[in-house]
Amino acid sequence: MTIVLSTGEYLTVNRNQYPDLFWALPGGGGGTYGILTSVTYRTYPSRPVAAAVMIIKTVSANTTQALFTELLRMTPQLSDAGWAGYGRVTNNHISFLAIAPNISATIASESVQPFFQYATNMAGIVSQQTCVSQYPSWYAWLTQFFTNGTRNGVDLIIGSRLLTREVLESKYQELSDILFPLGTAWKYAYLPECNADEY
Amino acid sequence: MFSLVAGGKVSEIDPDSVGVNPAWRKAVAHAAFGVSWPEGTSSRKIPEMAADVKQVESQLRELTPSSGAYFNEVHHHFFWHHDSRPDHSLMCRHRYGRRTRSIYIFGDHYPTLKLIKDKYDPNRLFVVAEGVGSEDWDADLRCRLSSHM
Repeated sequence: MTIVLSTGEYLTVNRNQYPDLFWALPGGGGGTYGILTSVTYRTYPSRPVAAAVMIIKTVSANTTQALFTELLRMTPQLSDAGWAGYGRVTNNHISFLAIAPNISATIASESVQPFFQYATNMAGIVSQQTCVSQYPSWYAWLTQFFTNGTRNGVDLIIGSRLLTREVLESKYQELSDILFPLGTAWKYAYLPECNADEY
Repeated sequence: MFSLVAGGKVSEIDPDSVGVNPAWRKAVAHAAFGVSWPEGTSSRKIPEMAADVKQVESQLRELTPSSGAYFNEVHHHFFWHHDSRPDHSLMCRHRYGRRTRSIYIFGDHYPTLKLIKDKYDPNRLFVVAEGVGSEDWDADLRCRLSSHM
C-alpha cells in the first residue's frame, strides 16, 4: 500500500516497511491514518458459484417473524455449507440472496432445502419464489443480478452488531424479537427490489 | 438487513494478524438494522426514530456482550447528539458521559490502533466520528479537547 501522511511523507507500506501501519490499515480505520493512494491485492483464480434466491410474501408479521427466526437459527448451517449473502425482512416480506463459491449443485440445493421446505409447510404464505442455480463465475452472477444498478442516497440511520455462532444457535428467538420490529422500516435497502420476473 | 458475510475463511484468520475488529473472526453473520424516512420528514420525528435504533443496539449489546459492531454500517453522529446537550451558542460542544463505543467498533485492538494513529498522524489531521483518535475532539469534531492539547 502507498499512503500520504499529514506530515507530507509518502510511504510504501508492507510487511517489511512500517509493519505497524500495515497492520492498522486493513479494517483499523483506514482513512484516519492518511490518504491511501494505492493497494496491491493478491488475486485468485475465478471459481464457479452457486446462487440462491428466496422471496417470500406473507399475510402477517407473525408469519414473517417465524420465518426470520428460523433463518437466524439455520444461519450457522448455511454458513458452514459455504453460503454468503444478504437478507431483508419487513412485516410481510422476507428475502435472501446468497452465493456459495465452488460448491456442487447438489450440496448447494440440499443445504438450502430445509429452509425452503420450512417455508413451504407454513400457513400464511402469499407467494414463495425460491431457486438455486449455478454460474460459471462470480462475475457472471453479478452481471445477471445487478445490471440495473442500485439506488443510493437514502435517508437512514443504522446500527450494527456482529452475531456469533453461539448466539445464533442458542438465542435465535431473542435475536428475532429484538431485530424484527425495526425490520419494518427497511423499505429502502441496498439491494435492488426483488422482482419475481428477474429470476 | 441480515448479512451472512462472516464465517468461512474470515474465521480462519488469526484475529490479531490485522487491525480489523477481532470480533469479526468469531462472527457468522452481521445484523444491520435501522430506520429510513421520506424527504420532508420533520426534524422532531427523526431523533425519535433514531432512538429506536439506539434501543435495539443496546438490547443486542446485552444479548451479545463479547461481540462487536461493523464500523462502516453503524451510524456515528447521533449517539453523541443524544449523549450531549446541544448548545448552539457555543462553538465547541462538550461531551457528556463516557466514551465506550470504540471498543465495540475496534475491539481490544483500539489501544494499539490509537498508538499507531498518534505516531503516523501527529498533526491529527484525519478524524472521523467514532474513528481512531476521535476521543481527542469534541462531539462535532470541531475542537480539540484541552486535556489532549
